[in-house]
Amino acid sequence: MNKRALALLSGTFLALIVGVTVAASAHAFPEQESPSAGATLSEPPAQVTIKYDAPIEKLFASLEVLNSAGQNEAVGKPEVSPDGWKLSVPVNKLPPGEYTVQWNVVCIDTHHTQGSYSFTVEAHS
Amino acid sequence: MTADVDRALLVWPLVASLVTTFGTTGFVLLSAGERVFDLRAAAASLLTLWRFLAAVIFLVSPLVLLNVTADMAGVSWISALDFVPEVLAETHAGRLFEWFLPIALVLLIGACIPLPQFIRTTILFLLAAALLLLQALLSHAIDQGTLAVAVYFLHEVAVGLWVGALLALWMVARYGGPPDIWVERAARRVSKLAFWSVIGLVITGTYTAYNGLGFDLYHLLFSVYGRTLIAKVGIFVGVLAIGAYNRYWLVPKVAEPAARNALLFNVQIESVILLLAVVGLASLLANTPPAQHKGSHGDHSMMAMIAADSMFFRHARMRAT
Repeated sequence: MNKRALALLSGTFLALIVGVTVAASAHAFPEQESPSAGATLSEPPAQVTIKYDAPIEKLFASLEVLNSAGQNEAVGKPEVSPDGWKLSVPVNKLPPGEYTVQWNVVCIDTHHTQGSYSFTVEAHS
Repeated sequence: MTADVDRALLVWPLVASLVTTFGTTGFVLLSAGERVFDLRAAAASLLTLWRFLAAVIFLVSPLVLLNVTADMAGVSWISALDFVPEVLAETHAGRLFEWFLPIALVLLIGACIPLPQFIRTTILFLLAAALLLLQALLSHAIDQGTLAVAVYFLHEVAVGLWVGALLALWMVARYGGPPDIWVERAARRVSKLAFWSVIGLVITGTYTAYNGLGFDLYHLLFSVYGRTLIAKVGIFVGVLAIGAYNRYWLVPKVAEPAARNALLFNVQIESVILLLAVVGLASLLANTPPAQHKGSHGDHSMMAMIAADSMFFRHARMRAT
């Protein structure tokens, strides 16, 4: 092995050990939510949408918007966008209060993730 | 046992069988121009191994599909049977399995029916390559796009060529009764092939680690993914040390019977470690959530909880509270 090849091998191996970065992920995690997590809204949203950082499967996707009594305010089944990155569901006209969005998806790599977050709809003054 | 480990235990024999079939057939085809030993004899000495590997691939593949379906639906294996048609028709993984299962069947048939050895070897090589590509499309790499899938596939190809060359050298020398000159030439060829395979593995492995970990020592040290990677790299370094000893000490003296016997013994040890430990840990890595993800914005309670139990995510949740 010549010195150049040895240097290449050592360098790439060192990089492997130390690790380098790229903005990417596996499994599907929320990248953007609408309404956003922790938001306080003056107007109730017409629908709830979550954009994931990887495509998800339509077959096993679920999205619920629960009021403080635990009732689901979502209307119908959640829809996955044709490219598989967004999950959304229309909601009833939400009265003021705190709402919990519960999502449960399967990434196209077949792995399952779930989570929840809250937002608040303010009373009209 | 977590879902990740469950899956890894199934994927391990599948991937090990695929890379071994691909690599051993590839090595025999690469040696086809060798005049001192007939390809048919080399292929014949590996035929029992190929049949065994094809049977493993054929039998394990449906179990992996069932495991995948059960994980996706969040149900038991028995209940998952009801979901299989929907998964096959409507999911990315299912559509891949619609190709994977028939190809696995053809691979088994190709290994078992009487065929001229060159044709059989070529068929098995091509089918194993196709299955490795489908395996790459089923991995985490699919979340990150075509380049990541291509890199993952090349990683599999590199490990296949390395393991296959080692195993084929040892098995043909042990069971094929080739002349000493064949072993000498094959040892040099294996040494070159192993060197370039290692280069390929390091480059593609670096890229995959790049995607999975990020520039974060915390991720490396405290995530399951990072720790598994450390274990895999550690064993890899051990195998590399044996390989370096072979390449720089034994191969130059391979004409001497003592060096030749020592080389064949080391080659056997290397291939067993690679298949059992490195491929096993690689299967676990392929089914462990990578440590780096973008996570949530704003609300810590949004931190996703992986259904599979993961030390990193337990830790992340603890940190969030």
